[in-house]
Amino acid sequence: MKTMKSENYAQRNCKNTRSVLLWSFLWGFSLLVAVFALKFWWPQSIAMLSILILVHLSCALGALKAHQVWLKGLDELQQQIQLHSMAFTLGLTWIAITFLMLLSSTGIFEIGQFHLPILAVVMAVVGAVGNLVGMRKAS
Amino acid sequence: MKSKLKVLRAERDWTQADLAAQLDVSRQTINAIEKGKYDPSLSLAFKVAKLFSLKIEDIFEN
Repeated sequence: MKTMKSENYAQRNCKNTRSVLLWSFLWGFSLLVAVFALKFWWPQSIAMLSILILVHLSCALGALKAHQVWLKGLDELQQQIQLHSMAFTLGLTWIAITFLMLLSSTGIFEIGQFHLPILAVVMAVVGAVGNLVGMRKAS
Repeated sequence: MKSKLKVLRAERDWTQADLAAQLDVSRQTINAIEKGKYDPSLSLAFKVAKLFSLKIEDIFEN
């Protein structure tokens, strides 16, 4: 029996997942550093602002590329599960945004800057739920 | 879609992991195909057929 291919698939997935985690962490960390640095350490420095934005965008591009590589490395069933999960997340996000805009236009609810991180967390949770549902359906 | 994958695998005394290794897919995918919960792509079906030296229609049926 050839078992090398299985190890390769598992190893490839493991390596790609680690890469996604690393780049996502760097992206989040660079955002945190940029916010704190500009607020508390160098509030007026245009040079620092440029450097931090450049670092943050580089990390964001790295995270994007790592996600692409991870998705391409998955087999067809896993890719299908991810696709459904992402479609579910995107659909619910659009519904939430249009609903909030409607509430905002009528003055019932005011959309503030602090609602954006909440939306990002909700998207992450919905994505995770979509993944779990897909995995359960396939097993 | 029904498949004879489980029978063919058992005849060769292969585990799902062994078959997944040969086809370069996850064990979960093999399990889903065997249970009829997932229909493989044409490309994967060809790989399966080639591995067992059979025709696609000899392995998969509607």
